[in-house]
Amino acid sequence: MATAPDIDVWRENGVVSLVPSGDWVIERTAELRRRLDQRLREVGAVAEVVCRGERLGRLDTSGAWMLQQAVARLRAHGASVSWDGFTPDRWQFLQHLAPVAEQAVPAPRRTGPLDRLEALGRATAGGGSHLVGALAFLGQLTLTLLHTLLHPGRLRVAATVAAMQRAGVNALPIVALMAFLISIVIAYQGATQLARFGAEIFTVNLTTVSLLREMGVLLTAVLVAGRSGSAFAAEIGVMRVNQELDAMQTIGMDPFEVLVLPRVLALVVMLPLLTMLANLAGLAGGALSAHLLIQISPEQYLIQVRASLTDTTFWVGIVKAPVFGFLIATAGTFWGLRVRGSAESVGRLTTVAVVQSIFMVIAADAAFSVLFARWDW
Amino acid sequence: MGGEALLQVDGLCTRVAGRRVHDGLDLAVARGEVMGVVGGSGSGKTMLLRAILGLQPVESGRVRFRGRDLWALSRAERQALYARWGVVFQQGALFTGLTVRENVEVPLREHLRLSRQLCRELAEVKVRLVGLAAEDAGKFPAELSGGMIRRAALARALALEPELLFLDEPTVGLDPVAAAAFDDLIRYLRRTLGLTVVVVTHDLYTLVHLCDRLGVLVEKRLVTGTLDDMRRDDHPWSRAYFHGPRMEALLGAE
Repeated sequence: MATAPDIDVWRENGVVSLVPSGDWVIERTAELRRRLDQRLREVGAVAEVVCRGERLGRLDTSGAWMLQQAVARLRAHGASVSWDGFTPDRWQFLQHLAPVAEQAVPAPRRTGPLDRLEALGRATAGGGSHLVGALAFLGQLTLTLLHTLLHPGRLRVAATVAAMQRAGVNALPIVALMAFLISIVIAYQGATQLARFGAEIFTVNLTTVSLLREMGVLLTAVLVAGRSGSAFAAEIGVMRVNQELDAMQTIGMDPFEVLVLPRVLALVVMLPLLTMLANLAGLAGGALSAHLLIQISPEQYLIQVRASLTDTTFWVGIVKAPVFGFLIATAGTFWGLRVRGSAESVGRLTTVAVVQSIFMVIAADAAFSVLFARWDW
Repeated sequence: MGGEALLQVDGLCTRVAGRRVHDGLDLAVARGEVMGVVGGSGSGKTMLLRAILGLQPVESGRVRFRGRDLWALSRAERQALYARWGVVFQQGALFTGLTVRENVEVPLREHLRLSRQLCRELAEVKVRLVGLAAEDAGKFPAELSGGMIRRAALARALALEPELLFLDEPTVGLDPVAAAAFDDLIRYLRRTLGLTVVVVTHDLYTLVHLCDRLGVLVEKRLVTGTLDDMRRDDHPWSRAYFHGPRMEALLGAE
């Protein structure tokens, strides 16, 4: 328990003495500051001051610094300050903090509109550099792909299959569950509205068509983006931080061949397969909802499903899947390779990878919608 | 020792964030010698290593290995060349998802067509060669101590029987016993395998006892010579380094 620090001002025979007392330690710096300000105002302008150390209790670096700061302030106002009554050790200690006390700690710069403008400029320039980097990345990926096609022995089969397992097979339960539940949600929403027109049976059309054309592939892609997009970015990012990528290059291994291409191929292959599973799970969910909401039997459900489909319903959805897979994998690996040096960088770029892959998937979906509308699919 | 330069660097200029780090740097490492590279913190020792290894973009200059200009080679030729040298990075840079043995097998699988069994056996040889025990070969990098990680990284660097070995601060963070053991290991391997070694280091003992010649990074260039040459040098940094209290204590105890 530190005793309360204080500083007294004694005036005897025209000599002003500054007498610190109590424990001048870090726990007490807040009150010390108040006290000091108060006392120094009281002292005002004075020609000569003696700082006396007889009553001082414990002193640590923070306390010593505050004392030296007070002395410096007095000196700045023209007073000459001398020391008395300090043990040699303590005096030495105080002297070490004199130069530190003399340098004022600069106040932090306030950010103004000019700083915001600068930040905007930097962000734009950074975006430009990322765009160039992305183009270079796609170019490198294409070259690596061509090289592998010409020299099939260069393909890292084990790495590709392992990525397929982690990104695809391990995602089966969650994709199926998600599709099942989403189609129930859509069915319930749709049925309520359609009931107004006595058209409940068309709930089946609603769930089937929206599932196969859009929801199945889109939600699977978003799920895979969250699972695998982040995993790819984090794995490769941490390898960058550990210098494993450098080690690979000095062993003569090309990170594109070894890390990027297997992951891209894995998602391009697995996303269509996952989508098909999602479609099936969604149809199952639709069957359950149809049974619960409009009391139709599974056989009737299947008939209605068949009636609502056209030739293109399924293909319109599934053809987007490999494209989405490609986008997610390239975003994940691209940002992983851009990690520089710290845990913070890994976390930040992993987030960017996921957000960007989801965004690109949705943008691509929009583009597909427009395209298919023009082609009357 | 002596003879034609195995590794030759001419006029290397590198730049980082607009600042020039190396300016017309020359380096010649003769076959069979151990060259120590020293310099103050931030003088660009590690960057020099990275530039030679091709991990760092270079403004101008030439790096020749066995007389062949590295950057004039095709990608395939350069990949083949990487098999001729081994690198031990500062923190080991082991592949964290693989065991020690699997780490050593990576270069073997990459460059040679070997059966699985043969790969395993050759990897075991290298693991024993660097003084790791048989049961360490099956451990993951996270389970190893600092000294063991360096040894495992060395085993991987030696996997393809390289001619040239690069070491980046190999003894940093090691206790004195492990550091001395590592120095002895390098000396032993250099003798038995006929290695040429370039070691970036601050370890004074390594400099004095392992290195044949030193390259001091001063003012963006390398000044090379023996330890005695360095101690005769006038440059203020060289004086502080080679006549500082630690160096004097080390040499005085000899």
